[in-house]
Amino acid sequence: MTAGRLLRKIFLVDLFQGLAVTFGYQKPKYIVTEQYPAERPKVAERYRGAPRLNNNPENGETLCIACNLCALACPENLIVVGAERNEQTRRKELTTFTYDLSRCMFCGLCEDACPVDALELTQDFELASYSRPGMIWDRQMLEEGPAQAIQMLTDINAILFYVFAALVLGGGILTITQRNAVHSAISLIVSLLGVAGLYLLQQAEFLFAVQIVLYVGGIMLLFLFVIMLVNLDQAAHQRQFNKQWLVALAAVAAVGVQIGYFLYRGQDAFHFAEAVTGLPPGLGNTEALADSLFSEYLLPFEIASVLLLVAVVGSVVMAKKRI
Amino acid sequence: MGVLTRRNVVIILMSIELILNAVNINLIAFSHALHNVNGQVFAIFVITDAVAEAAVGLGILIALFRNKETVQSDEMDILKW
Repeated sequence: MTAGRLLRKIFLVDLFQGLAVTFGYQKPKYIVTEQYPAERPKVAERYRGAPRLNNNPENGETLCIACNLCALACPENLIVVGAERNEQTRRKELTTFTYDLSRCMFCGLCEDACPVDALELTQDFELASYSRPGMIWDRQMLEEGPAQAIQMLTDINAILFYVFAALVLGGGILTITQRNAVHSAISLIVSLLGVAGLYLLQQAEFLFAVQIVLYVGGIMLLFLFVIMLVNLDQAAHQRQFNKQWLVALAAVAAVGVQIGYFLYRGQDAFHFAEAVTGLPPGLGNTEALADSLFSEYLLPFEIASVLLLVAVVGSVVMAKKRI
Repeated sequence: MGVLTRRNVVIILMSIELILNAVNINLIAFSHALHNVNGQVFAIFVITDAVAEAAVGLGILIALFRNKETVQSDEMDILKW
């Protein structure tokens, strides 16, 4: 084998030529992935989605006259219209309206058949349900739409917030009251994990990751090393709180009451900005953060790196036995 | 509260980390509410500061401990020994 062929075999030249072709076909700028929950696809105006029973916008009463034409038109026979005759006006009035969404093929024949445009197929396509009976919609569900999903999401948000807040507060209180320093450090770790969870709930994913890696994985490990080094056993047997603890407690209580009072008085001035609907695609939290950090805040970023350098040199100097 | 009350210097340092985390939570909550990413950028800088300060603080603690053999803040009460 000649030298050229041997070299080409050792350095896998053919493989890299093939890879070059593959990567040459990549076009990362043209991301066509639809970031689904953040942005929903636009559907056509005449898209046949979730059914809706319309009400008269003036008096809020149902437009349906219980003529049963939609039930007759349905090829699947999944509409059941319940009506009763009102003796005064001698007309039929709608009582119950049942629509079995699990068998519906969204053909729109019921919508076409309705003479008063009471039954309409909307553009809502997010119809998933956790149960089979949940797919059978009654009149109230038809009129108001499947808003339950959003309700459940906000509930889970609230529950998780209280869980993480309890972790943070509990961990914090344990940190400052524990006798053993290692127990204190572990409580602080629990507290910091709770804080990371709170960051995730506020949709700050990058900071959630940074918090766990840097704070828990870095700083708390450093604390634990120092605690082991410093051997706090005899410190745990001595008095834990210093002489001015009563004054400190009073001062903290005073500040706490003031903060609570100001929050209570100022709560009306607190309005949130309008929700930003339809974020531009591909602009997640990390990208937005990086955009801001490396353009507007570049100088503070560089100063922060100098600060870290100073801190590293400083801590090495402080901890050395002999300089 | 831990900063003002405890005698053990290591726990004082840990309480300072708690204070910085409280500030961070506040910053990020407002950043989310006002739909502004500046709060999160500031929070990154606060975390950077906390790391630097923890490192230097623990270095100082180790140097003190080597000289004085104690981590109680009450007993570190003379400027020259």
